[in-house]
Amino acid sequence: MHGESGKQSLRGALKEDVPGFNFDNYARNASLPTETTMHLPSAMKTGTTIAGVTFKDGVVLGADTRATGGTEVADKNCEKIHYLAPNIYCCGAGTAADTEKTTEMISSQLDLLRLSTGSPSRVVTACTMLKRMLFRYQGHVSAALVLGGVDSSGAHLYQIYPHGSTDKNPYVTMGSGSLAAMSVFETGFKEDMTEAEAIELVKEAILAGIYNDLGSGSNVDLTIIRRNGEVTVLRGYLTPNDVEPLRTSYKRPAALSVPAGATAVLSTHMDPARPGLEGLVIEDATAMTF
Amino acid sequence: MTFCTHSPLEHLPACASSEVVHLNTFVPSPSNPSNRPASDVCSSGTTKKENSYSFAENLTREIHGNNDPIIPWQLQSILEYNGGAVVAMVGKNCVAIASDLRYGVQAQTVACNFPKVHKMSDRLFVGLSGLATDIQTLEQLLRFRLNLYKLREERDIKPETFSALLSHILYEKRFGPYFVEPLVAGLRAEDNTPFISGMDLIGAPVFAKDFVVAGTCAANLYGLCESFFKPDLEPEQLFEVLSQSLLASVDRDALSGWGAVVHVITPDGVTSRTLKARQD
Amino acid sequence: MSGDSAYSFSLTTFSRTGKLLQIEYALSAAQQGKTSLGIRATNGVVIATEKKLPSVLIDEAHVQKIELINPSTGFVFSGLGPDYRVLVRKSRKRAQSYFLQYREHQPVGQLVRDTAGVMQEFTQSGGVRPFGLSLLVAGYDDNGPQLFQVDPSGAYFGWQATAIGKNHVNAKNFLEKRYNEEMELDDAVHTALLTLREGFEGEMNESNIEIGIIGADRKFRILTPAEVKDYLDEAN
Repeated sequence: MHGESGKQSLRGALKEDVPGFNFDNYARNASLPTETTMHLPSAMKTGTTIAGVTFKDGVVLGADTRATGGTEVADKNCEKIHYLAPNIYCCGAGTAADTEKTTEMISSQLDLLRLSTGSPSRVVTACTMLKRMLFRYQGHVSAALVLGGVDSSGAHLYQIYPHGSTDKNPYVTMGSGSLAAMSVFETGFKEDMTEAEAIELVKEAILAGIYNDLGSGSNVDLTIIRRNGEVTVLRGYLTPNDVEPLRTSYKRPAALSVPAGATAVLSTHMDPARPGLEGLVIEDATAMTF
Repeated sequence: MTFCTHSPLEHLPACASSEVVHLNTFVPSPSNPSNRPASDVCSSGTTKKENSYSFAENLTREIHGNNDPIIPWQLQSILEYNGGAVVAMVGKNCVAIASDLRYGVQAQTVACNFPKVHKMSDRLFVGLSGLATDIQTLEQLLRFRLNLYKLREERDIKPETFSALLSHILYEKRFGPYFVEPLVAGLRAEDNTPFISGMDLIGAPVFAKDFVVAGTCAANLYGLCESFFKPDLEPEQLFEVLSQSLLASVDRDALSGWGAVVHVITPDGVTSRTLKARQD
Repeated sequence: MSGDSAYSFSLTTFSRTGKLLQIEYALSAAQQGKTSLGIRATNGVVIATEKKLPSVLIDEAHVQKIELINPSTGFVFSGLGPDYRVLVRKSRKRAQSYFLQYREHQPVGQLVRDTAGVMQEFTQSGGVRPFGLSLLVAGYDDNGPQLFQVDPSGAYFGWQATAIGKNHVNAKNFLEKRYNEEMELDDAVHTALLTLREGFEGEMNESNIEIGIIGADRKFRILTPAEVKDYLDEAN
């Protein structure tokens, strides 16, 4: 019996393109020595400040660009405003892989729907697809989203919680910096703002997160979706924490330039390129040797 | 910013700390006051429950004059079980990826011929740090998928495509993951520009334009790479910078080191070097 | 379940002369369909089809024969329209799944192979019949512009220019004379119109034909009636 199930799961591992999550490792992981699992591996999180406002002619979405693994900054410039459809974008906070893959999956479903209906996606459709997906996994897919876009019925802004509940508001914030960002919105939000006013407000909200929330940092990304269908993606709209100018302007001490031959080498092996042959060679496994 | 509240392992039973017994550790217990390993200590280092002590208890005994060796740290996660360090860095029309060679079981070093960087095709390497069993499983799975890809598409996979595939494979196991943090390094066929990416254990990608790191001394590697890295390094310079960053990092990490291997990928081919390193 | 499969076998059973008649009949169904054709140019591909309708009362605006599968691939068919929609749906889904896995658009050759695989499955499975249509696939990927034909048997071929459907023999003869390897996309569109006109009964206009093109931008698109009209006017 045991051998049979082992065989089955091996076959499962080698299968490509199987829909849904794979639980092959679940039992194995549960049986790992308990002392090794008392502290759980940390998946990368986007601590995150994400926010959106509606204005006269559409919606503005904003996000910081820090990703963390534990207390470590894992990515100083990650993208948190995800494309869903030409007229719909979605900011993600929570476990980085979950926000990334959930939005990719919904974007794909929206694309199929657009191809078969021949009409542009609606924001409420995206919202419903996302909340159904998240509700199905009971919060275990930990994605907190700010969804914004325009469609035939106007400009819409939703917030979606990891368990699948949603709100529709004129201004929303999510992530660990949501309180900082919301304090800015509550002070500065007005109905029917101009685009410039809306951009300024979102920028200030994200900056409040960047400077006051440890989980958020680096740059401000903005995406503006207008009622006329125009979209502007402003990646790196503001980079107040960029260290590159300082680094390039300052001459480094000689100790930081490693001289040639500094490293003691035991053996060297050169594998010359094989132009034209690359695609034909099937590599074999070479574990434990080099 | 904090540990993942909905971690992939949330469902696993959290162990009672009193059940923890570390390798190389033996302390007198009520049932075995002789202070000698008894037959109920099995070779894998686990013992029966009744004569087990927590790390804190061991430490107390240490302070109170017991001279038994104890492990001076507590395992933070299963990713640190075997130890290891991997780093990749871009240069001008070249890219380098390196790893240490240690294979350990917690504090015990078992072998020093365990490279964690694997060649996937002529100009594409993957570095896998984490749990050794998963490193090997994933390496074989990737090779299988890549060979199928080559047969089916009659072409070499692009580095970014490989990175996406790897991310997809890892996320498929979102709720029962491989305990592996991979790095991808490759040279694009079209224009010889370098590509690197890193990932967490469930496939959230990090695309960096300078370097990516993973392993038990990731923090050390970040520090050294931030200091040593310069843009547009030539292959030879890149080798020195990467090697020194790696060596200095693993020297400050008890769980990695025992030699290192560095691959520099250039349009002319791949130069692989093993480094002279501390063996402690 | 097992009771079902014991008694349901494929309609496509070999005849004593070694033929699969159902597949040949399916091919006949495809060859009775409205003519479609495709031409591969140096910098792109064009596919075109007739969509003359049996009654003047049918609203032509709601008939669509050329379909986008992924951004760099388009299909057109000759044969049974309803069968076509099944195939289009499956191929689109397959292309999406490829994109999710590799974050790269599925190359035309792969998409054709997978689609042909589906058509083959329908010649060898229980409870189904072969697709009554032939496909033309136009795409542009790292291997450049490409044109493929897929038949109901699941056989597929790469072409420089070809035609399927009712008038395919004459159309192919015509294309053999007109085709040259240096042809650019604009010329190819004109040649496609001329070829289509050869077998066209009645006046050809922007609403009774359809044209899809893909150029070096690797974006497949269906020409609007206004664009088709411009090409028709230029041809006159």
